[in-house]
Amino acid sequence: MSFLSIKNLYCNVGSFELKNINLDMEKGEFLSIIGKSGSGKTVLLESIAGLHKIKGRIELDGRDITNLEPQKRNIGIVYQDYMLFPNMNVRKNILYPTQFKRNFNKKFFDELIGFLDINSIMDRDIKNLSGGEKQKVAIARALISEPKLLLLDEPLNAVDFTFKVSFMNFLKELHRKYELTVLYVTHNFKEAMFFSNRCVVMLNGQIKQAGSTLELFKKPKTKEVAEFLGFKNIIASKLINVGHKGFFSVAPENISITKTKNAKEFYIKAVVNDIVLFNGYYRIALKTKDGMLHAKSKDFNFSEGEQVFVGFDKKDMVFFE
Amino acid sequence: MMDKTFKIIIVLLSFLMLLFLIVPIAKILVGVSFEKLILALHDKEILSSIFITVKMSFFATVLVFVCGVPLAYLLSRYNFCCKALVEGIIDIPVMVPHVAAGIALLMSFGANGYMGLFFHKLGIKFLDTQYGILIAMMFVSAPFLINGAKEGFKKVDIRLEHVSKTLGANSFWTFVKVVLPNARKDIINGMLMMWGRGMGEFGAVVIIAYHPLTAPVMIYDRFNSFGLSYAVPVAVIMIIASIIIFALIRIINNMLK
Repeated sequence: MSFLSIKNLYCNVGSFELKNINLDMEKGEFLSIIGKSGSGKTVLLESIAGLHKIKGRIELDGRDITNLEPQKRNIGIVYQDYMLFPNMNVRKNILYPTQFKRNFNKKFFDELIGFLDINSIMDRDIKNLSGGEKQKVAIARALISEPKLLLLDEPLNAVDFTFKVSFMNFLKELHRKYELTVLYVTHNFKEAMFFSNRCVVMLNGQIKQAGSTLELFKKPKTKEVAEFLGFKNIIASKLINVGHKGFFSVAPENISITKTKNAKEFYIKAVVNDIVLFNGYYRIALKTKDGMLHAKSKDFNFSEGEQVFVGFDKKDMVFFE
Repeated sequence: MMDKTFKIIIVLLSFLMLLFLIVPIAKILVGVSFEKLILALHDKEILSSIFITVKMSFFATVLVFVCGVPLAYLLSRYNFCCKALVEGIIDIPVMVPHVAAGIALLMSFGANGYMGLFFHKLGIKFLDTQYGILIAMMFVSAPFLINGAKEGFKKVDIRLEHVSKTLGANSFWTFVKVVLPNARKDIINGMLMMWGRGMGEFGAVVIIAYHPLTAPVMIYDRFNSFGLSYAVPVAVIMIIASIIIFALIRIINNMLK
């Protein structure tokens, strides 16, 4: 049985709607949810934390928490802009949960503060902290009562670029050391690949694909997911009679441009629309009757307006619905 | 060049505005002799009226704090049908002539009004009593506190409440420990505005409770009966008392930040 199980979750927040969310997580997993801004990632985290009314069912550690109040779920949440209480200093922020009879383990507290290296700032005002320090305090506060599940909402967004890589390593180490179960929201693919073996793509309030991170970035299931993941040259399969219903994509570097058909398996007629030399490569925009294609090549001997054949092989094509 | 001209115009207009506000106050403050002021300070009637004014406006502020702050929180956090209507109702006392507000209060809290009859059974009368002063001050100045608190609550990010709840606090403790302290500045400003506005209220108070005399009513009463020279010392003492009280509260509020 899954540690976190979400079944048929629906949630309305204003005019936004989460639709039929189904999600499972194992204990100790670091699962990433990736999606565009406004796709409902934060609303999903807040729904799991009990902050919105939902339809459906959420189970955590074998217990139905669907109708449980947020203060009774023992789920920690960390927002990208920290949400530290401005009326309290660092120590009071971190110890806030202890006022409400949450678990408090002094040994764990001391160890965590040491691990986060925030001993020296415990009596500082929130406004006198750097972005990285604020994020550490927010994480310490969420972890102090040893939550069963930690929800991280784009925690690296507000962290300085120079500090980002070390913070990513730090988060990974934190996860490993305390065997945390983490649901991580981001729109940054690199972060998702760095942290998670398994990923979920969320678009327009729905989960569009879930599975291994590697597989997701190699084989998106639908055109919508492929577009979101940045796949280029998405073409309707019917255009070249490839024996597949749906769409396929070919990377710009796997496209060949020739005056006549020769060794490639498939060809599409096109007109050279634009040529730009950038970083030692020609980036060529090609106009076909069904839209634009893009190619990338070290050599290019055609001029704008010239009619050409765009060729590619089946092994370079990624198919999806 | 344009920038410089613009700045000069802005400073000049600001100066005119400040001058308009300062001149009458300065004129009244210097327009009374020290002897008359000392004499007025020994006048028990004047001291009593100032005390009643400050006290009743303070109680009015406390009472509106108890019910108005929750209303402000409701308006800042939730959308519900007729919300715009409710917000409009809160602003009515600011818009209507205060004498009209006094008449409206008289009709409902007077001897024949529904509220008046209800409170009469509890032994509370409003006509020409301190209770009358209290409700008149509450009615006309409540919007200052409610709207101030509402703006304060709006500035508190709802996600602070979310975090507080996930950390174990229920809605009540979240409100007490997170929302109220972080909206405190606007709430206290709203309370000060309400207290000050209540102390200065004349129109509604004079209709429902001419007696016991509040300071504004006494100023009017003395001006009408004995002329300007008798009204000025009362006004001056009232202005000085208000300035001292508000300055002190603002200093304390700033020190607590």
